[in-house]
Amino acid sequence: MNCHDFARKLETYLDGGSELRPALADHAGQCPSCREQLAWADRLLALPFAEPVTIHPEWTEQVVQAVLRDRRLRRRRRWAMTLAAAACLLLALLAQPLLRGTGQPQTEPGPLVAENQPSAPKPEPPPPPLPDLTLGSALRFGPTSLEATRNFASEAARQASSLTAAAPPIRPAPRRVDPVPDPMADLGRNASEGLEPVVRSTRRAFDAWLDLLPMPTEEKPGL
Amino acid sequence: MSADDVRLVKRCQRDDPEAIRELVERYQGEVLGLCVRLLGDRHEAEDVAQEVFVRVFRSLHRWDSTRPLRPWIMTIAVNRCRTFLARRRKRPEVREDLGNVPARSGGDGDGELLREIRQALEEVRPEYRIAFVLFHEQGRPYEFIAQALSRPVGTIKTWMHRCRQAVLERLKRRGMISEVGHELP
Ligand SMILES: [Zn+2]
Repeated sequence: MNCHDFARKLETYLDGGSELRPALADHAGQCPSCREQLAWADRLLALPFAEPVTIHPEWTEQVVQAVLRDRRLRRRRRWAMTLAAAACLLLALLAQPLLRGTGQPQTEPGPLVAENQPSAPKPEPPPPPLPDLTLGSALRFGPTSLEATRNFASEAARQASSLTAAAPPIRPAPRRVDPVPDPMADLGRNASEGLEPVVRSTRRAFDAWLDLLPMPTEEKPGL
Repeated sequence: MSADDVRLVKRCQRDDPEAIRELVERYQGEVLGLCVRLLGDRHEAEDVAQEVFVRVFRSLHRWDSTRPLRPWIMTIAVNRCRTFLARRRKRPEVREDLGNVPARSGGDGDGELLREIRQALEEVRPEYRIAFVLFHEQGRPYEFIAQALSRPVGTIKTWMHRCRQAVLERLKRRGMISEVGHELP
């Protein structure tokens, strides 16, 4: 073995090739500089690295509490976001006729209106195309349902913002929400069915977003 | 894979606090031990180990129950430490000089050598340090390190070689090893 072979085999020895030790020692016995290398390798392998780590019960308790807190927080965030998404979608569905009404000839009310508001008086006679058609269209939905939706949406937004106030800005969701078919085509029948996949997609997207989040704010910052 | 681990994980997923405590207690020694070795600072190690457990419980639904739980948890621990080391490396001004910290093993030769090695590890790339600590201090095989760092075994061996070289260079500079020695290959 020459010095070059020695250096190569010394690396294998350090990687766990203890069977090479006699051959290395053989060369080291005749070569002072290689003897130094072997001595260093032996010391490295024999160093008392693995000192046991003592664990304090308070630390264990702190970890368990942090895990429980994180799980609670994630459940609440997921719930708030689902609520907000559902409210936004409902608002979008209800706002559609308002947008449609502007500048277009009046059409018959959709089935939802007929089903949900059987006692609501139809505008009689059909109103002429006036600049305030938007308002007229809104009234056909009835002030009660509009008001309830507005309250629902603002409450959901308030909960979502308070729960996620400490969180970093939301990154774009990795999944796009499925496109919603024209709800006015058969609004009454499709409304609940249409909401379900959107809420599910939003929930999935939100779960993915949660995985990217840093630790909850109650924990020490900077990690 | 241990059937016991599978049962425990299922209980954890039902938010059973006792199961969560049991899982933490089962793996805290190894996780905290690894963090202490990799970060060299007990307080930082406790913070990072806590974060490791939070992430473990967040990701439990992704654990493949046909594979053992221990390496999966240790991989998360290695990666959290790696991220932490990379961030810490960018702000070296806040680091205490470990070279001035007294060796834990007292004033003997081993203590001095350990202190010098740890100081040398502070100066190398986090990946080199992780490979060195996992191999020499934790006794993990190259296959485990390669999996934890998502690199081929050959790459890990190269990192390990460079890391040993860096440690050796420092020891030579500090006069702890003779300058006449050959370089490692
Ligand atoms: Zn030689």
